[in-house]
Amino acid sequence: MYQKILLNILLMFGLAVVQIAFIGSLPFFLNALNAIIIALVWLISLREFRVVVWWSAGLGFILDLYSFLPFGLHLFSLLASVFLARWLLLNFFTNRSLYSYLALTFFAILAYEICRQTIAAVFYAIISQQTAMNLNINFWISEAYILGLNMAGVVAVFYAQNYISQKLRPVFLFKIK
Amino acid sequence: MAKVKYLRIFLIMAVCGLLIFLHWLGILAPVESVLARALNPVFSGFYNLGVYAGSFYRHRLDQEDWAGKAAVLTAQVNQLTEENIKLKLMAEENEILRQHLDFLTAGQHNYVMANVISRGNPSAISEITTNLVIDKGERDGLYAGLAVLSSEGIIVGRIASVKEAIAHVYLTNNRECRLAATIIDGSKTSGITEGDLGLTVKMSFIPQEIMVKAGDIAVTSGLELTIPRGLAIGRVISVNKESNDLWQNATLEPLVDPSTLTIVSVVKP
Repeated sequence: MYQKILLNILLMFGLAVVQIAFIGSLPFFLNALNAIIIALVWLISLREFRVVVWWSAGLGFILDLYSFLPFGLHLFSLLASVFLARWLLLNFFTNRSLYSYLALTFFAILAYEICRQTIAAVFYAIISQQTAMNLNINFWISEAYILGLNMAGVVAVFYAQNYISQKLRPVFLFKIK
Repeated sequence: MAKVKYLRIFLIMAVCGLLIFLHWLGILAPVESVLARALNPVFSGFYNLGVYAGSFYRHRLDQEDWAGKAAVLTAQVNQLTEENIKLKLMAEENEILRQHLDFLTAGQHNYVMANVISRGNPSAISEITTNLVIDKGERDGLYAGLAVLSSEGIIVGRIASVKEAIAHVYLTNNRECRLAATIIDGSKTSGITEGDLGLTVKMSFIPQEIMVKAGDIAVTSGLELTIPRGLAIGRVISVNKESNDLWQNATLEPLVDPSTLTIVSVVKP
């Protein structure tokens, strides 16, 4: 049991390091990849929810350590996104198809970005008395990039998982002739 | 069974809330410091890997005319070599005068070398780097306002905030990074630089009567206590001068590409 816990902690740290240091240093567009959300959505469908919540808490804590935004912002945003994804999985997207993963990732990232941007904007509005969020066309374009690239990432992870294991099958809708 | 499941999740949420509360009280600071110190070398390694991957990716996409660029750079090198010789002669003369007048040697600063470990805001997309996180912090004597230099001694930004083992740096192209500057043209022109849309640096409050031209170099003026004089900021690429305005503005091009920075030094006064 302790070995499992240690393995989970090491994987969690590894994912945080890859997200913050490696992906963060990549050129524009590639650095929009949110490996943490993709991993959490993937885990939601495969593991017990309690384990996913622990992962969100741990990853959020490490993200907050290396962020100069208010502490707890990433922790809260990640937890909100996994709770939303879990609720959608149980009530709407009940199968493990590619479309479900795409939809779950879409809403998880949406929830994460909304929480993160809102809390940061409120914090800066209170502290520095100025608006930190500029809702111009570039903001919406960058948010669209984030969603698009991460959904492409989910497709890659889904097919990689399908190639390695038979647990997930790419279920497509076929027209009944 | 469902009750037990919800109770466990509630417990995890309570732990998260407690973590946030303890952080704001400062109780978690030692734990955070130890964790940051343990992880910083790993972050540094992965960041360097990412920068290498990024530069390889950019090199493959780059379609520039390297021969033409080499010719321009050769001409610049020749011009700079000539200026360098003149400056060396002046420095020698300066040294002799200082020895005669028994001045203390100028230009000696304390430096703290630091590795860049992150681009500032985790999971935030950005085409242009305007923030960095380095692996030195309060325990290394750093505090907000200190100048951050590249390996060539060019100022790339200043420290915005510090934690125990890491510090957040605003680069010169960040609008929050303001520096007191002067242009090397013999007239001791002064102004204030700040980042402009993350792409260039804008120098404002330049008196109208001063002639500023493209190609001039802006350096720090030394008016701020924490930032030494003479650190290069950028090269003037355009001047905005309206006759009915009190001041004129200049647009500067940063001399260093921030996306290639992996090691920086922080100047301690």
